[in-house]
Order: sequence, then C-alpha cells, then structure tokens
Amino acid sequence: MSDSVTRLENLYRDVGPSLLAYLQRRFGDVHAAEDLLHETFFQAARRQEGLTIAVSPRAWLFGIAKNLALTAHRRRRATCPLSSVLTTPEATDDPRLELVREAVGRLPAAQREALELRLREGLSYSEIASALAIPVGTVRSRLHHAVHRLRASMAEADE
Amino acid sequence: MDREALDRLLLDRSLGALSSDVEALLAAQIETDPSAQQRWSEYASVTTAARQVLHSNTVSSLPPFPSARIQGLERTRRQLVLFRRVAGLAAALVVGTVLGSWWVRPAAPALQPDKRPAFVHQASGDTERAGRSEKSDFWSIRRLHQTAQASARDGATRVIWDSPVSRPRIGGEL
Repeated sequence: MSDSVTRLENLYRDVGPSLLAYLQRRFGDVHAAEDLLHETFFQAARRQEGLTIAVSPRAWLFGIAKNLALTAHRRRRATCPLSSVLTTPEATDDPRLELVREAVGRLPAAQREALELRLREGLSYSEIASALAIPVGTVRSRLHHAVHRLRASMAEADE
Repeated sequence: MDREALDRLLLDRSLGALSSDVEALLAAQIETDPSAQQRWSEYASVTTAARQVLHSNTVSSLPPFPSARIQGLERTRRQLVLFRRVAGLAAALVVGTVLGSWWVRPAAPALQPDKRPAFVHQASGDTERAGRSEKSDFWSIRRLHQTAQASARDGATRVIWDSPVSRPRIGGEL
C-alpha cells in the first residue's frame, strides 16, 4: 500500500467519525452520510496535491465534505425540503438543554454550521474559515451572533 | 478596555478560541470588573449548554475505509504517470531525431579536381583537317575529343576557346 493511501487511512480513522457526524447532521440519512464520507475520501485521494499543501488536512476534508453535501442536497432538493439541510439536535430531558436545543434549531443555517464546527468538531476559527471558504472574520462574526442569539433566547425563557 | 472589545474577547473565550496567555490576561481583567464577570458567566453557560446539546447527537459507527476504490485510483494514477513519462520520452526522441537529421544534413558537395571545367578546343576547319591526319600525339584532335567526351560524361562544363586570340567562353553540354 502506498504512503498516500496509508496517510488517507490514518486520516479516515482520525477525522472520519467527525465527518460522518457532520454529514449525518446535514442529511439525517445514515446511508447517504456514509456514501458521502467515502466520496469525500475518494475526492481527497484524487486531489493529493491539495492534501499535501493543506495547512489543516482536517479543515480541508471538511471543506470537501461540505461541498459534496451541498451538491448532493441540490440533486435531491426536489424530494427534500431545504429546512432539513441541517438536522435538529436530539431532544433531551433537561428543560434548560431542551430550550437551548430549540434555540440552536432556530439559528440561521450559516451560524449553526459555524457553531457546530466550533463546539462539536473542535475546529479552530481558521479551520472553519478554510472548510467553509469564508474569511476568519466572518467565522468570528457568525459565532458571536449565534451565541448572542442563544443567550437572548435563554434570557427570554428565564423571564 | 471598552465594553464591545471586552465582549468580543469574552465570546471568544467562551468558544475556547483564546490562547492561554490572552486568556490569563482576560481572567485578570474580569476579576476587577463585576459586570464583565456577569456577562462572562452568561456566555459560558450558553456555550456549555450548546456544546452539550450538539454532542448529544448519536452517530452511527464508522464504515470501513474504502481501500479497494482508493487503491484502484492510485493504480490508475501510477499507470497514467508512467504513460506520460514514456510518451514524453518518445516525443523527445522523435523531436531530437528530426532536429538532428535536419541539423547535420550533408553539405553541398565541393568541386572535385576531376570536375574542374575541361578546356576544349573547338575544332576549326584547320584543326579538322589536322584531325583527319589521325595523329595521336598530345595535341592531336583525337585525343582532345576523347578528353572532351570524357568530361561531358562526367557532367563537366565546356569551355569553348575558338581561337588563341579570343577569350575562352563557357559553353553548354558537349
């Protein structure tokens, strides 16, 4: 097995679970998410140069996954409503967490995506910027707006 | 520090995006500012709750790595690289051969000593008469004709010299 395949396999073990979770949240369909995960690594194997020069291979893979997910979503738009691009987090027993869950579900898709990549996947601001192909300042702004919105929702509920 | 800048830093801290030294400086700043402490606790509780909510999603187990597909791609890529190298080498050889044959093509042949114009004395009436005498010495007409014919066979240029008092001229084929 060549070095590049071994490297990709190691990345698959390290980043694969996060990518699968990300794709599953975007689709809600486990099988579609698994297909997209495989396709992400196949595309990565086709673009070895990108992987070599990427500052963060993790962010680079997230970028590929995001683009593939968008393309796949466009293809099945006729049968899938746009609101289901990002799935809502699962319900919890804790009323306070349930409140936050609903507030997260109400966030604009762009803010929610940035928040998920930061809080769930642990990507840095620059990695999120690389994955979403947006400036770092935009990432910071989206995250700040998202936290402000969540805080406002919680404040409303407390009152 | 103004409130907006402090808020931005507090948000970044709640999102875990500050470096340790900046965070230590901010912590020292918050300790002296009760309102900042209040805001920090609000941001921290929001992001902690959001983190818990986002992590609660169940994810299916990771499917096996698609090694067969990716190795197939690698094989194809290696074959393509090999083909490109061979094709490049072949193209370089062809170009080299063509250029080389053009560059070192044989030069125009130099005038050989035996190709030098032969001096032919055109037979005049007197010399014809002299030729009929069938002399075969050096200046005989017969020998001169033989020389001229030999030169004509070799493709030599004919020089016509009718008379010793006139200039020789270049003529056509014998």
